[in-house]
Amino acid sequence: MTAAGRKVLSRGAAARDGIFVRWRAGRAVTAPKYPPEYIAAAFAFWQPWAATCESPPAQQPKGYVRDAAMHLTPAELDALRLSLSVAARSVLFSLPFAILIAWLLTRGRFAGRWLLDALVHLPLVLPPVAVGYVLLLLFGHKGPIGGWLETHVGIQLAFSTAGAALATAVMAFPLMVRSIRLALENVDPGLEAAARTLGAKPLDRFVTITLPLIVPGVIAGAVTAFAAGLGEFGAVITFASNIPGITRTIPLALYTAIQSPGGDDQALRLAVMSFVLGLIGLLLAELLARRARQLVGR
Amino acid sequence: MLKVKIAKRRDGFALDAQFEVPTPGVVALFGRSGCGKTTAVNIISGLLAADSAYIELDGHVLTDTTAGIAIPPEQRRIGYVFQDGRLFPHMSVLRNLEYGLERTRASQLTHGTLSARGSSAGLASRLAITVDQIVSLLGLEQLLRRQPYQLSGGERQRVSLGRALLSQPALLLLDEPLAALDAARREEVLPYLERLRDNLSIPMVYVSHQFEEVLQLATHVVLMDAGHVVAQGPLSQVSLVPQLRAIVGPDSVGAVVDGVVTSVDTSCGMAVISVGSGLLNVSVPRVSVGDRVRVQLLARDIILATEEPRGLSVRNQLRGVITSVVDDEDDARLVTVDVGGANVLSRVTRGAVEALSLQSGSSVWVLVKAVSTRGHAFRLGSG
Repeated sequence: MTAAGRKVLSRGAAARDGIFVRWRAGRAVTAPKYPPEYIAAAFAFWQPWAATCESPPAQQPKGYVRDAAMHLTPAELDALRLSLSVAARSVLFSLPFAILIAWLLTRGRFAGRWLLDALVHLPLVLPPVAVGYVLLLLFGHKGPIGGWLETHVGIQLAFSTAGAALATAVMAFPLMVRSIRLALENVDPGLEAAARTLGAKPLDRFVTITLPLIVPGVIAGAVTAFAAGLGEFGAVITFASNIPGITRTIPLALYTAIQSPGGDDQALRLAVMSFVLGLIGLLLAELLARRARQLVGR
Repeated sequence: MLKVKIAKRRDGFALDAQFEVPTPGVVALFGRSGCGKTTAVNIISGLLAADSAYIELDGHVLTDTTAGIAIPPEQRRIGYVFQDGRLFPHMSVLRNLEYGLERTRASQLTHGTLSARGSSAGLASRLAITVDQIVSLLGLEQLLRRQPYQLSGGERQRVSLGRALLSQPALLLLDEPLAALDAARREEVLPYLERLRDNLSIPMVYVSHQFEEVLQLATHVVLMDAGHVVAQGPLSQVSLVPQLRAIVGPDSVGAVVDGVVTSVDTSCGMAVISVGSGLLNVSVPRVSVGDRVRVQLLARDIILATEEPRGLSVRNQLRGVITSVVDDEDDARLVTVDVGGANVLSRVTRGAVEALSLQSGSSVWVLVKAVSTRGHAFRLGSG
């Protein structure tokens, strides 16, 4: 396994141990009031940036950090905007599929279930570059799906922002499916049976009973996938390339900055940006899921 | 009429049951835990598929495996009250109650069963059971805005009952609705079940392994053991079958008799009911003349005499003829006495049977201490 593959795998494991395990433990855990403190800690890093140049020099941070404490350049803003856009599109696009697949994996009784399960989880264990390459083969210019899409629908995925979103969606898909699946497994099938005896048809049951009850898991999965999507590197650079303003998201910009001489300041700013965004995403997932659990009366 | 004939095999267990009970009425599916009662109601509801089944309710065939008929549960109009309530945790009590009601309304609209007027007033008049009616019958006024997790176990079951009833069921299945409750909560819910039985003419199938619940609620009993029906019929008949002993225990064996109150002594909570050709003083609270009352006369409390006794404190003496004498325990026998249309069981020692030469056809006096009926007599409803 490549280093990049291991990185993604360990990231998946970390996400599971963090959000999911705590989420499953649920109400037994007394809620520590960490969101405010964590956020304050996170923003301590930002304060040098937030402070204007008119601040007294004595309070200015020294050395390396002060050098980095510049305003974000247009290129960095572009990377931020792109990362947010790519992550959001990937989540919006894959959420319905993730719910469907999770439902099939929990409730479905069909022959190839184990295979579907394995396929869905493959991006967790594959090198992201390999995933990107497979996408390139399938959705590229001459790929069977990509070629069809280009001639019949007029969509070009490879080397486009939409393509970056697709690659991100595939990579974050297992995270989302796992979270939703966990939530589905916790829904008592007896409730659906009860709805059935009360006259609810299948779609009705799903929309009025199952879906509201898995909302915490769906939110947790979506936000985690979003946070992970902000940092997707290997699959994006392979499938969508590293085009400024189109596919150069934060991690790609960071990689480019590290590679170019004198890019240290920019690299640090981008790294801190990733760190803060990721942290906010994870905290948001926890907060939203907790709020949703209250709404469904758990 | 509810006709049920079902068979299902599952590893190590075979259910093969057949019964016919009149509707409306409360039929108790009674038997030990694991005898197939819940499986049977799940098959009736349509939630569980049987190997072979024929289920017919009031002339409508719901399931017929030989003809390939299997109406899905959502179209059966069979209400189901589960042991664990199964309230929807994300909805308020009111929304829970309305869940089935809304869907019944919707299907009535789409299937065009409404009158030509089709107005909402016409719709309301077509709904036999309304939210207001259920709320007052089940005492839910204070609970409507609450969430299920804020309810006690008993309250939860009352809401669950109301929710099932509001779906306007043609049949209500109750799968041990009191089993998950402690004794106090059970006492809290039972009167509501009695009210439903007396006020709504919805046929009910009541699954239970508690004979007291059957005594209080059922009009008919289907006695099940190891996946088979061993006896069925009115409770007064089923209470006489020997197989009951193994299920309820020897101390709870006793004939159940139904009678009508002819006079009441409110000062001491006693009532006189007519049973068979005689009258019986029983201890039963809150009844008035004309009410129907059910009393279980425990076999161990019944004394038999071959001559008319005098100078005894026993309040009840019924004249009867022995119809059977069967072995009960090593040292005792169970004697069935016909007291003019009703049957009474008495457990007497082997020695007594021989000394008095009790046998089929013997004429006897049946002595029942009125106090022994305390806690074993229940009001069944008026008229």
